[in-house]
Amino acid sequence: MSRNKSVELLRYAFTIALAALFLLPFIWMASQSVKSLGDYYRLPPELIPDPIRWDNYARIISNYPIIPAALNSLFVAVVVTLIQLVTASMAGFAFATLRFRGSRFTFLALLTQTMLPVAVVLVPMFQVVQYLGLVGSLWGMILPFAFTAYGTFLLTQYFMGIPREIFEAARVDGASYFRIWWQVYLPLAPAGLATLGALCFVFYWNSLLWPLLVSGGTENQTLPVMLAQMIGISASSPQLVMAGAAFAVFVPLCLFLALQRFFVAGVTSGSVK
Amino acid sequence: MAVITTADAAATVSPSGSRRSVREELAAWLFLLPSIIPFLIFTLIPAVATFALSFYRWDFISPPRFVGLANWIDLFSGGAAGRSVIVTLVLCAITVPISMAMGLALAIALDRMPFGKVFFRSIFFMPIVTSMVAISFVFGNMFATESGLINYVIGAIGLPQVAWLTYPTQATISVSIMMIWSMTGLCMLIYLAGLQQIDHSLVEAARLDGASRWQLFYHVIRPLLGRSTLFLVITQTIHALQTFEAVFVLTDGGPGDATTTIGMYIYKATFRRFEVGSGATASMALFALMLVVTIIQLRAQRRMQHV
Repeated sequence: MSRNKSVELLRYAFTIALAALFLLPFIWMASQSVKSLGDYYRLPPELIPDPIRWDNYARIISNYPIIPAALNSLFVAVVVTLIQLVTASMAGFAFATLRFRGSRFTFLALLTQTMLPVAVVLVPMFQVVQYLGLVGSLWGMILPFAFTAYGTFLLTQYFMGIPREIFEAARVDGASYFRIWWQVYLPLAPAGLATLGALCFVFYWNSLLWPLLVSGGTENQTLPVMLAQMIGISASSPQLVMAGAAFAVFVPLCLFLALQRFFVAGVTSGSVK
Repeated sequence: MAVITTADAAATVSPSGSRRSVREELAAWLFLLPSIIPFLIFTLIPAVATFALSFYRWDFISPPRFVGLANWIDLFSGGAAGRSVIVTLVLCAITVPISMAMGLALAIALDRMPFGKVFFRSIFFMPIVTSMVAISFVFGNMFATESGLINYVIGAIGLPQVAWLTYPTQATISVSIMMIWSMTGLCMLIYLAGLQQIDHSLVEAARLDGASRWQLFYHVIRPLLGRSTLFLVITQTIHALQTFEAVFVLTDGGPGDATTTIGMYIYKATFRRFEVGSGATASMALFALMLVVTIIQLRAQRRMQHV
């Protein structure tokens, strides 16, 4: 065998071995989620149990409010995403095209948000939401995240990639700034919007800390909050918790597989020139 | 999620031109208002208030009592808040280099792979979009001492079993393993993007000059990946500094406070023990660490531009 062939073989062996390790938690989750309680703790463990208890999924849906929780998560993630797309594209448009005093300072000031995550501003942010009467409401999980430094930065970059002549030409034609943003710039940056949208949706679908604090009761629980509580109280039926976990993982995974290139563009932005 | 820090910003915004129109200025501020108002209300003012709270003792019920630097002295004299800073830094020191090394190895293996590249890339990306709450439960099940999959495998090859979540060192390792699992995909992606930017004529030239594979990697490819490495050190450190979900379900910060990260400490102090001031002090410590990382990034980037 030539040296090149053996290197190639090594490359595949290494990748496949690591890929198997990285997939293991997913496979194990799927396997545990369709087991009876007895099989769940059985040693040696079986990858494909007999019988396969598909009804675990029916049971978690009928015994726990997982569908309402998923709908809450969906609502929060979708609305935050839509709001962020609007606010970030407006701000990005202003930073990329309009000339105004203090633009650089404002840009830098807004970007300090990346150093001020929820954990840093926890209690005062909670008090603001409380003052607005939004504790125990899904809007309390949405409005605090109307602004996104990451998205503003991302879309500013995208919009700066659009030739300035297009902006000038639209101005000469008498279009208002608002129309240029809405009818010219937004349609020219679908990849940027999709990238921000995809990452934003997954982030808020999965987020735990803030929804945990403001959900205030079962009615407004999101999926991660409900799961965290199930993990605490359902020690007697862990296979159902496993089915719930699989459910929570499934949605963003499908979204990712469908929109993969936008996710990749999103996480690598800023790392290459 | 990728992190963009202020350092990237300076070069980005269009320079203020000489001709300014009042209409344009007004329009700009109207466009910015939907961002600036939530930023002020939900981020900037709360951040200032958190700083103020760090000088008080407060339990949400009785009026806050000014205690000067007492919370800060606690933090620096090795109290629970200070220990959470150490725990967090230890987790960063373990997970950032290991995930980056694994990501680099994977990127090199995947780059120029004739087939299966996108398939493998998807597999390693999957943890990035996975709910940490959900997968922490799975890891908890796999790490179980008696019935866990990992101890079963360890036992099957004849090694002594490990009480993964019972003792401080083992629990730290368990949390690290899960964090590395979730962080490696981004490293692979960034390095893969970096490798694809490398001008292959340079690599070919070195190869024709008789460079070995190791020399090729160390003297040609590694320096060209400097920008990717810098980006990853920064984003992964900022990510790891904020660790909360991973320990919330897997260990609840335990045993004792062995895996109580700053994020976990803030949550426990504020909402379980109602020591708001102490939580706020830890919040400020977290902010300070992120600020330090950002300043390091600014300096490194400036140096990189001069090269």
